[in-house]
Amino acid sequence: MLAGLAPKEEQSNKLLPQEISLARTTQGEISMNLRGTEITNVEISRPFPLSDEHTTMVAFKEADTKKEIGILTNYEELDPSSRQIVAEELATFYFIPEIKRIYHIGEKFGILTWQVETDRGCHTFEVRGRYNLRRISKRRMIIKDVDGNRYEIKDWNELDKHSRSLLETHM
Amino acid sequence: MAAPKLKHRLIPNEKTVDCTNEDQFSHILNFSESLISHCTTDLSIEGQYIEGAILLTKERLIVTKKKEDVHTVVMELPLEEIGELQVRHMYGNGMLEAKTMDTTMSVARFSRTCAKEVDALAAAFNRLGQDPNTLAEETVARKSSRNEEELTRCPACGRALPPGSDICLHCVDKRKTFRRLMHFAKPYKLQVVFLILLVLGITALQLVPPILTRTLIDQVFPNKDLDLLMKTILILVLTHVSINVFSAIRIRLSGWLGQHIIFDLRTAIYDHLQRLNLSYFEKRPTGAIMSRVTSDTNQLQHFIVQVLPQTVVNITTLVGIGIVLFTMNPRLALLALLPAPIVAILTLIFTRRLRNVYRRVWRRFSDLNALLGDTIPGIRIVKAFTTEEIESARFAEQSDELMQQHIHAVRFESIFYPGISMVMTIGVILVWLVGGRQLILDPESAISAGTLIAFINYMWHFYGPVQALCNLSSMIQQAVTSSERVFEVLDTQPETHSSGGKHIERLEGHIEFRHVHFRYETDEEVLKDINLEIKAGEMIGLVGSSGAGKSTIASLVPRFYDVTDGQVLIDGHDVRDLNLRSLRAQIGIVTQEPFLFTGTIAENISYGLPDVSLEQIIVAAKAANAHNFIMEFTDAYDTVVGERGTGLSGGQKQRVSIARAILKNPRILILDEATSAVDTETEKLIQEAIDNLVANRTTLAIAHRLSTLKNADRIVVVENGRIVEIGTHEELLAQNGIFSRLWHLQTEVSKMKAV
Repeated sequence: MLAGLAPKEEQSNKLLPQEISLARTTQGEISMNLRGTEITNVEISRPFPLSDEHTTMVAFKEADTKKEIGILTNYEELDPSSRQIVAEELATFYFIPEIKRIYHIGEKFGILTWQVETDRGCHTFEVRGRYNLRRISKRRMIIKDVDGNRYEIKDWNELDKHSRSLLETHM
Repeated sequence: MAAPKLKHRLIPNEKTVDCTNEDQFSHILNFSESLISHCTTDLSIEGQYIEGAILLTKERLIVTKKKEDVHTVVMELPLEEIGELQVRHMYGNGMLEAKTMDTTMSVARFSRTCAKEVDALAAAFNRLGQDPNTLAEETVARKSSRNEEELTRCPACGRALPPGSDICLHCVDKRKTFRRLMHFAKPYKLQVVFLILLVLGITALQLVPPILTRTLIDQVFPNKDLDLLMKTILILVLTHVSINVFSAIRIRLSGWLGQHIIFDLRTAIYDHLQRLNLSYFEKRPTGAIMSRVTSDTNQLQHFIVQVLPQTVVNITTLVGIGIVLFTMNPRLALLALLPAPIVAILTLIFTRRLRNVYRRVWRRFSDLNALLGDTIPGIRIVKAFTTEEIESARFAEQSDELMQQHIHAVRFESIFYPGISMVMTIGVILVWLVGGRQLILDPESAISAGTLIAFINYMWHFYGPVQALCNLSSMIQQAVTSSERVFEVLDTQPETHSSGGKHIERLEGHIEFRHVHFRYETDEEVLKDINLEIKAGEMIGLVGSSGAGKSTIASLVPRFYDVTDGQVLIDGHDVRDLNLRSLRAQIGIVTQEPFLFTGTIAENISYGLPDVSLEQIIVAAKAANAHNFIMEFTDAYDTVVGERGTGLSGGQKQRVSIARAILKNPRILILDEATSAVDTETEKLIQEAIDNLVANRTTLAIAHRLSTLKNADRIVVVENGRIVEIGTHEELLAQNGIFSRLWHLQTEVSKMKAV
């Protein structure tokens, strides 16, 4: 953007839980009542999808205009039915299987083939290069495969010895 | 907990094989129902990994799930109930949704691995109502545009491609690669043959000394035969002398050969690299390209002159010793070779693990390097934020991990080498034991003390090659990988370089864009229907927000990229018909961040123009307002600049690069934000320099600071890849459009600054 052309930055649009209530339309979309005004077709996303903390922070966006409505620090403070909608939406939108056990990691030509057991069942995937294995913290890891799917290891120390040793070799 | 069987081996290549086999769905479809489109899915609606499929027939949309290798129907929808199929792409997964009369239904869920296939199926459904003729066209169009996306999977087998490469090493014919590699040895055929003969000779000679030992023990010493002793010693001396002479020749020859081959390879790659399109370099990290010229060629050299001859030696040694041992005493030979398979197996297991251990060390090492590469250039920020302690602690932590891995590796080696040696010793001891017993208890047997000692000697020679051959496959794999990387460069189509095309000595500089469309390798069009005529000598200012397409428009003129559609004409010639060298010789470019090569200022100003006189350099520097500051340096025009030389400020570099452009005396000039990174004072100097440069040349000037475009004959405003406004400064101001808004904003800002 040219200097000065950028639209004036929206004031920190922090939402308060009591200002919002959510509902699902028959078309499956989410509508939001914000301080009395009705906003249809709302998208919910996480500003920090991978960090340890802030997992309860969510951003609301108008799906059609892509305009941000605001950010809510903790969606668990919403009324029960709205909270339920957010939780459901996040559970569908963010698919990050948790790796519980690693059976095998094979490497050929710089591609790692992982055979793992996740909380969503057994799976095999390919990772291109080591830079797609990301250590988030001492215990947590995020792995991104060729197609852009993400997998998570919640606690390195909870893994069995075999899995850990495979990880260490390829980290 | 017992490891469950890995049922879901969803390796893509297997999946695609699956997918083409439509028979597996025959039990689901009705008799007359034909399949329009189908794709695989890998998730249930609840988000569990499954193997499933979506089938689109003329009557129904069916979602299946595999149970005991048979697809069973999970849900189905009659087509007439579906209004539209839409794919919702989410984080790590996607959902196929069907819009019906009154609701939206989630039909199937899938990970991103299947996303493209599902997209295609949804598109196929949404096209159903259309005319079949347009349908066919559209599929073709889709396919071709898809090919231009960044490839992460091999189009042939569906496997992931190696990082930074678009060649699938599973699909390449390894023998062919090997043969191609051997082409580089072809000019030195004679030397190679000689080298192999030499190596074979050395091997054969090495088999001689143990036989002589046997003669000494069995014949010379018992018979006290001085004459035979002298003869044997003479042969022994001759053998050793020839072995060492041959070795000396071998070392020289293989060194010579290796360096010649690597020289040929290196120059071939570099030469080819210089001719490749810009996009080749933009797609790959610099380090990855550099390593092809340096380390990959080294790898190949090592393979051709070390591994290959050594393999010949190893095989012949094994066979030779085997034959000798069995002719001497078959029973003892069997016994002696007994540990060989054990040594082989142990070596295989251990080296694999050793490689893993070393891989860890190596990775920690590169982590440490990366950390350094991050913090040392960023040291200013570190100091400004006083995070020295944090950075030290981070380094110590990484360093500690490296140390731990090293210690681990040493511990592993301390088991490995003595272990292998122990196994080999066991073989020798067995031979001593059995052979010795036979010698003592059964004097009539064929075995003699000399034979026994010769045996032992041979055995020591035997295990080296066994171990080396065990490592051969990994060596070959490495060589194939390196060759493929090298061949990838060599196989990439170069620009249509100097040869070909019309030579035009002097262009007038009349430029015309006719319905120009352009996209980089992704799907999105960066330029849409650009029409613009620039008269010779005219100065055009290009204005617009970042990413609007200004630089792309400018880079089509020197043909850094070719248009996707439409034409760029210079003096009425399509740029694609012009000789690239003669075209570029008449275009000068000054960029925002000018690049100076390591060398003197004079060399940088006269870059690419070997015949200019020193006076001309000074004239150019003066016109570029660079002369005065250059003369301030102790070495004046001979001051070394660039990576390792004197640091020039941004504005100084800019003026050197303008001098470079002035000296080149181009007909067409491209100024890509040439003044955006300097202070007002310097800007004035540069602006003067530019005014000198622009005179009588067709100029395309890209600028953020609109004040720099006051001299432009016309200003073109670009937004989202389209030309939205065009006219003189005054005309545009009067139009009250984007330009006038920008202008007022900027003058306001500068007024604020002035206050």
